[in-house]
Amino acid sequence: MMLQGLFLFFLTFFFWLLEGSFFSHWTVWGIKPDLILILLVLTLLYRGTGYGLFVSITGGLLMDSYLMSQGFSTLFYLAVTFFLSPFLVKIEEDGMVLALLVMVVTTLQNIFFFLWLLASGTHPSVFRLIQVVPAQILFNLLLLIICYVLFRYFRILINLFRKRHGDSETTTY
Amino acid sequence: MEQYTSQARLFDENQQLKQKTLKMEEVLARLTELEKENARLKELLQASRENPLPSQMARVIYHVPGNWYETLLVDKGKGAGIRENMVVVSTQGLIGKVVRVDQSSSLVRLITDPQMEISAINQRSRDVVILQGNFNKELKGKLIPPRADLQVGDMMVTSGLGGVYPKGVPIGTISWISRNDADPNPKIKAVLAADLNHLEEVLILSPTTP
Repeated sequence: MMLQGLFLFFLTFFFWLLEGSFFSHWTVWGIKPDLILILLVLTLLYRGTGYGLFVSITGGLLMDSYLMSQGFSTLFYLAVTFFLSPFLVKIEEDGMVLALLVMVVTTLQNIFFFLWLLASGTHPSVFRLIQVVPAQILFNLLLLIICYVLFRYFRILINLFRKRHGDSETTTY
Repeated sequence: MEQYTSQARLFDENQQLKQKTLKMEEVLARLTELEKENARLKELLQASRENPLPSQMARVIYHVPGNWYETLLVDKGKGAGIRENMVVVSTQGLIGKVVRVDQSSSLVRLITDPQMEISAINQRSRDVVILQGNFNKELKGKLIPPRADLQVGDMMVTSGLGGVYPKGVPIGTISWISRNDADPNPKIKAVLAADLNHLEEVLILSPTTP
């Protein structure tokens, strides 16, 4: 459990670094993806609410540390965890529902950010919102598919490793 | 037997040469990188010499993610004497200002962030306008006088009003103007003078007022 927590921490940190380095240049129409959200969705799908909470707090705090959003990201990822957990337990690995949930969450995230900026006295244009939402949905879905495939292969590899070493448990990463 | 030995020697020699080529390519890549860095630093040094304010160079270490904020992290902080509201420039023009300082790093809010408003002066007509960040390497006009003499292609520089930004730092050029009878205030957009996507080193200027 400790090892899995540590692994998730480093994975979250890696995703956060990747978002601020590679994906700040590699964008879709100038829009960046939300890798922490993708990691959170996959963690909820494969590991359940407990680990999801861990990723949402770790990822949220990392984002908030430099976004100057006063805890907004952490609160948002926690809300996503509570919103998605019941669905993800039921759908298991239904790709279409998963994609739909990511679309809804991405849209809500950007609407909240927009409203939050409005409330804080800045007036971002509605055009920006119209520009960001579809581009980020597209980017998030594309990366979700890639990460989903990678996670599945990784899980198969771990299971093979466990079988070879005589471990009967086969339902972890 | 002799032919076999000769072939083996040739094979060894070939392997060694291949390794040598790889090493040389690596050295060449490193040299090219150093050469480019040297050119950038030279330009930055020249810019800091031309600037009347004391300044120091900082490296960009992280582009803060998110689509609703435009910020980046540089490798100089409290330890190097950086303080909040210090102005950040590149060789091409204004970049932003320091909004948070840690011991060894600082957070810089870019001028394209919508929370940034800068008093700018038209270099040709001397009309003062307020420019606001509008994401995507762009600024939009705010509080523009109705009779302001503005043309596409005009260079906008900092006006020095307000005491945060020193006077005369290039901000960008006007790329779009819209005037209509219903609204007496013209609407403008400006493209940045500085290339925010390829920032590697920046200059942090000391404040104009202590």
